[in-house]
Amino acid sequence: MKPKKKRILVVDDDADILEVLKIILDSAGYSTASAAKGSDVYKKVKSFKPDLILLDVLLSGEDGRVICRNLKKGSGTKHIPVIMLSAHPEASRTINSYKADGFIEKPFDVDPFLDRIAALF
Amino acid sequence: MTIRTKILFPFIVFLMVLTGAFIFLIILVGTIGADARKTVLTAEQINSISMRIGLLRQQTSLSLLSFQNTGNDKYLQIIERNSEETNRMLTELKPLIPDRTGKQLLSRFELTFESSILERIKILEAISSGNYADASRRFSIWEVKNDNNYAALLDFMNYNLHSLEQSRAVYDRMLRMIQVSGVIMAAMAAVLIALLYLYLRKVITLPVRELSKAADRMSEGDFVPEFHIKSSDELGSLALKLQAMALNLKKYHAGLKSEVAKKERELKKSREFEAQKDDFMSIASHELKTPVTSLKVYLHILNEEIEKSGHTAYRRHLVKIEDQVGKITRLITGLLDVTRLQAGKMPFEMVPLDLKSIVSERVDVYRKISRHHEFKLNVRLRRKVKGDADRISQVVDNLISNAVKYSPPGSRIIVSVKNGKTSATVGVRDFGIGIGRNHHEKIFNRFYRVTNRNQKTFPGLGIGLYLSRQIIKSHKGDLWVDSEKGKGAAFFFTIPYYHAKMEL
Repeated sequence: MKPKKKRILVVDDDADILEVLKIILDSAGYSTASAAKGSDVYKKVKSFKPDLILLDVLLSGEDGRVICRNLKKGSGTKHIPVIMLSAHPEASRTINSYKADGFIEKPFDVDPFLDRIAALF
Repeated sequence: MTIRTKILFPFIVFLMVLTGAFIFLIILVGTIGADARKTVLTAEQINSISMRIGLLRQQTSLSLLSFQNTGNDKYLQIIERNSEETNRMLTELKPLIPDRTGKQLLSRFELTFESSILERIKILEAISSGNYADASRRFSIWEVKNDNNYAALLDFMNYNLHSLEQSRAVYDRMLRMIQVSGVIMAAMAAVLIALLYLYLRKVITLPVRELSKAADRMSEGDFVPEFHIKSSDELGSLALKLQAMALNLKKYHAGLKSEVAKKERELKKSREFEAQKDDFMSIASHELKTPVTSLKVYLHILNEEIEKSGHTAYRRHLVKIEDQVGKITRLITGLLDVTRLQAGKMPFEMVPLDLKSIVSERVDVYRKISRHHEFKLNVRLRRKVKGDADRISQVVDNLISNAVKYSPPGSRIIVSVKNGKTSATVGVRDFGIGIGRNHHEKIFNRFYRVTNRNQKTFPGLGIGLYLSRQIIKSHKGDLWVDSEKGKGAAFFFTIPYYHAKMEL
């Protein structure tokens, strides 16, 4: 029996990034959903029930790190791993206090990126 | 008048007044004092002689009585002798009498004395002629005359005693006067000294104090001190010079102030500009990263598509695109690094490092990339250093890539790691175009590039060496160049050794 596809929720306010992430994740055999802002994330987490969330740090509106902390507080969402993305390398130093599970710097090479995600499952 | 004259003049006056007063006092004591003393002494002498005369007078009277009773001639001889003695004393006494009353009293005594002597002679004549009745009558007369004479002597002596007392009183008054004048002189000297002090204060102390206050005010930046010194001495001219200086300083200060303000404005502007530039670079490089991320993903997809479709002929184009995207990524990363270093926000993860493996790994990478250069690696290192592996690797990479970029294919590139006393030294030597001495320090400035019209230009932003040096400085190390134009270049940097006690 074919294993169930892992579900990844991708959060970024840049439509181009959302698109390319969706392409490579889909082609790598994941099921993906996307959100552009905080309020969407909480809805999508409930409806889509992701196994992993890829969360951009600098979002317009609610900051990605705040969303991460809220998710890690909620009893129904704290078990979901969260990997944060940012073009600012120094952001990696701040994510620990928001309980994120990892950090990937933009721009990234596709193969190491996919290896990193595969390692989580 | 000069200050010297102003000080000397009152001093001389002071000394002259004091000396004059002293001499005056000495003369006063010497003359009047001596006069008074002489008067007293004379009076005493007169008194003593008068008393002797008085004694002789009494002896004479007694002798005459004895002669009358006994008729013995020796009494007559005594009387004769006494008269001569009295006469002698009178001649001695006369010139001593200082005043008119004294002389009158003495003359009265002389007259009565002579009169009594005459009477006595007449008595003696009556006795010798045997006329005893006449002698007896004359004796009674002589007694009266003798009494008168004695009274005159007493008057004279009383008067003389009185003048002696007066002279003593004068003498005492003189002594008191001398004492009082001594006290007055001391008081005068005190007053003179006080006046002298006030004078010197006015002439020297007050002007000097005013000048000093003016100088203080000037040093506090008040350059228009007003002077009340109007004297024509050195202090007056100093005041005028100080005033002139104050005016000059004021002008100079005002000029300087506006100059400083101008420079401050310029500096502020240039700082603002720098800050804007840094902000711009931070935002720009961040914004560039998003499209680069997309590009990389699409390149990846294209690569997979080419693999699947078998159109491998396009692959070499894709490799070129990937190279260029890689270059753009490195440039963006470099720019971001510069911005972060400027803002002091570059994170360093300091750990004990094996410098040998970092350097040899980089050399291995370049052996593959740049097959046209001959790489030589000399490593002699026993200890670990303290540092951020990625950043040190970045520095080594930068130095080797520069060596490759600025030296001709086929030439050697020697990379060495050596032991120092407290730190390890890494060296990268090439045999390329070299760097002129005038550029040695400038090449470490950000965005500095050696440009030469006759020389081929090399691509780059001019941030590699700047970043490298800043990274090494953050490791408490040093980075420098040893090179001459046309003779290749050698770059060295040091990294302190790791100690177990070190704070990481």
